[in-house]
Amino acid sequence: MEDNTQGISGDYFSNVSKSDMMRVVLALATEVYAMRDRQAVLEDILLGCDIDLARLDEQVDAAVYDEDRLAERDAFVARVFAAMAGPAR
Amino acid sequence: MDMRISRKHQARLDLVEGLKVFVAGQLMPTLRQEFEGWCAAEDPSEEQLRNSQFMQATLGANPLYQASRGLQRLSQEAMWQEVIYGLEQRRPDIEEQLDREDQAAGSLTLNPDLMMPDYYDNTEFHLQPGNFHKNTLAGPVYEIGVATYTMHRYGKAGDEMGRALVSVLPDRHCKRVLYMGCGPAYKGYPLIDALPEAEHWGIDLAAPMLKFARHRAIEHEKPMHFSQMNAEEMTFPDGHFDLIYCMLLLHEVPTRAIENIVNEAARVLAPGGVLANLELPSYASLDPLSAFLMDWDTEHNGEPFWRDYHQMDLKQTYRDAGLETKLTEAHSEWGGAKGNYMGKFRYHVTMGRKPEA
Repeated sequence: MEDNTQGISGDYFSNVSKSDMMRVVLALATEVYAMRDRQAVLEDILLGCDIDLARLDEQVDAAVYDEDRLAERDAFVARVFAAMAGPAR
Repeated sequence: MDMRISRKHQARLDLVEGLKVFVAGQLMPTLRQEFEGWCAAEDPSEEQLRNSQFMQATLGANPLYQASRGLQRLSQEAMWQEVIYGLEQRRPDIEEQLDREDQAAGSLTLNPDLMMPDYYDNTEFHLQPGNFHKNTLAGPVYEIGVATYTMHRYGKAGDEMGRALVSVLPDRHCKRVLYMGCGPAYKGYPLIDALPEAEHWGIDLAAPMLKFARHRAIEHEKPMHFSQMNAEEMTFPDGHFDLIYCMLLLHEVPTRAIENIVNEAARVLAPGGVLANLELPSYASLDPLSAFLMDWDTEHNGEPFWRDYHQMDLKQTYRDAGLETKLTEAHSEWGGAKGNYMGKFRYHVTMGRKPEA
């Protein structure tokens, strides 16, 4: 059997089906949704303790006008999409 | 009008913009480096490099190329989606502000009977859902979306193109000035500042854009008259304006409509008046890779007439309309200082002067 797992330049997923990839995306989406649900509950609990959550919904400028948020954003994008900048051949 | 959206929606939009920055700043330079290495090794001819089929065959399967184009397209779709989500919750408040009558300097004249040209009615420019005329929030959607689309490189006021245009206009007294395809009109504010004695007019096909333009102009104290009108068939009398300008309008319309617009502009220009059209640089003035990437927008970014615009002879169209013409370049802060996938660039301004009677 041909070994497709070797070599730094190999495509480790050449024989993985797109359907399986989508199953992973779906699983990730369900996890995100569960986290959103827990966050909503947490916010309810905090509100019950008279904690002001208005900052969460305030209108804000784009991150480009906030150095900290901008740096956080660019680092996040670079980390998540790193594979795109140096793709397997 | 407060154009900010809520933190939740802005965070999503920030991420989308970050993706665009990543494509322009990480993927494209690497792709360019690879491409230049390939050119050095294979030595293709200039003619081959200017052939889109050759370029597609060369780059089409390249993972960097595919990733950059795929992410560009998906980020554009996601961008509009997030802007619309972000503004939707404020729809009643924004609509109320846009519908409010105001007696401030300037005016707004809408024409509910104006027929939309088929090319306009059937296109979603830059993939903006509902185009400019089918969503009452199209103006705010456009302003936030374009700022994100251009990675905030037009400056916070979004008027970088207007400033570029002012820098190359002839020194001439103007009594009346017309901005064709003005949209929200803020790109034209530098012309109002530069020509404060003139009466400024803006026309556009889209009522939602004009309502937003009027609201915004009042807020920014830029007296301007807005009228819903087709630039191919204006209702102004002959010889009415001393200066007529447009920015990134002509590449959005078919060649036949460009000819009609230039002819109409020539009609309503006063003798000695000037028509100035500011656009992104021509394919021929760019390196082959930049031109190929720019051309990609024709099929994939809601720019159906982009290629035709770059292939037509606009100066000849000016001459056919009786205008003395010349092409000049204008400094772009965006293109000059920061560049984009095209690298450094300067705007092209096609100037046409109507001969004195």
